[in-house]
Amino acid sequence: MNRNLVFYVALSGLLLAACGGQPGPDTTPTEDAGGIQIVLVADDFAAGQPRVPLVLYAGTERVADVQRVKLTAFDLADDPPTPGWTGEATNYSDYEVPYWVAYPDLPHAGFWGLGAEITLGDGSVTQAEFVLEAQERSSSPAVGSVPPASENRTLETVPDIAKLTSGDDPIPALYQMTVAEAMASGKPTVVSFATPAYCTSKLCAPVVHSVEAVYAELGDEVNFIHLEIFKDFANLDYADEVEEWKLTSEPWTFVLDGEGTIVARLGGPVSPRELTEALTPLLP
Amino acid sequence: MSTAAAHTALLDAEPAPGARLSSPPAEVRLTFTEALQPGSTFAIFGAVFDEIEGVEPQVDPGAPQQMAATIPPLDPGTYTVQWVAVGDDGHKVNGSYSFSIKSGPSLGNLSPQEWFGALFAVGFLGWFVYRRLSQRSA
Repeated sequence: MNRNLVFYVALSGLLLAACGGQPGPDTTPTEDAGGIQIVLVADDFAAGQPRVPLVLYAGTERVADVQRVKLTAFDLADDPPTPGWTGEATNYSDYEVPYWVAYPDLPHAGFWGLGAEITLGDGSVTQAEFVLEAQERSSSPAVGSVPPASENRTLETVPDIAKLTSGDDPIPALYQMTVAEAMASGKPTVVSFATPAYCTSKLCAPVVHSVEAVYAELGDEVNFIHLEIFKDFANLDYADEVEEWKLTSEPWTFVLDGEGTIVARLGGPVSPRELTEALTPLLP
Repeated sequence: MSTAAAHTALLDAEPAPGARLSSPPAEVRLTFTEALQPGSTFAIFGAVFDEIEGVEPQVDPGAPQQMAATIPPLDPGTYTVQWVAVGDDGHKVNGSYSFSIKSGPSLGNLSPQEWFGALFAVGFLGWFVYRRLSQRSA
């Protein structure tokens, strides 16, 4: 047989192997492996069992079809980080942007890693992680504490409701009482700090609507107070209560029992169902 | 207190969320819906929340909606980018996403085509050498 022929056949085989291989290093993504983003939609977390609300995104679109979110907390003070609490987040889809809420057990202040195992609607499972910092104490009033008995503006002191809220169709009942009056009434109270017009995100703007929806159901049994974030819409000066309660962001919704003690502090989005769940144990 | 006119959202990321890269990226670049204010930053975590050192994000002065950092060479594995974005309104938003880096090529990673080509070439080279040696000894 012609040696040259053998040589060229062998060379062809080598070339075939070379060309059939990978084209060389490149950074182009070759496959999209889930790509879920976790966004924390509140802050001011404290050690204990803080409420951690989160929203899942794929790109800029919310991931709608999620069956389950299971979380595990890792203590980042340990080396290597050790897994601790494991639990499932609760989905609240009765809100303009459906969100998930978990109450991880974080025994001490510091940085905590939360690993999420996300089961999508088609049954596939993807992983995601995020880190949050738990403070020794929250900046705003904590669960179990008695908040400031604010003497906020009401329709009695400021008859023009447009000065009490930036909402465009407010319910007057939410602007009747001061926090001090509500705390002295013996009834549970919802105090919601929100700015309907100045927080245009779908995450925070609907909070007052949630409060209004639950007021429609429980208005006879519970006091409902909406506190606008700003006392001056021209200069965007903060309302006195915002600083009095030491809020680090908004919206924040607090649920107080009949004795004026905070039983739930709900930062960020709050759906009507979640708010009702927080109130139910307080109802006669 | 940080107030919210609109929440800053992650518009684009390189590497993208969920990307599976053939080789480590030289930088991570995040683009948001609003110009970023001081306090905006990100960190990268490897396995079990092991923070990658040497990552120093900077807001791009020519593109204030972007922040980027060069990153040290990363081993194959899955990484989480955890970001904090402070928008014009002072509102802080936290988010995270993951990308992964595939292992480099090895015999275990060869495709069937690559295997065939390699065996074909080795087989014929071996036959050729055998024939040459046989002729010399004859």
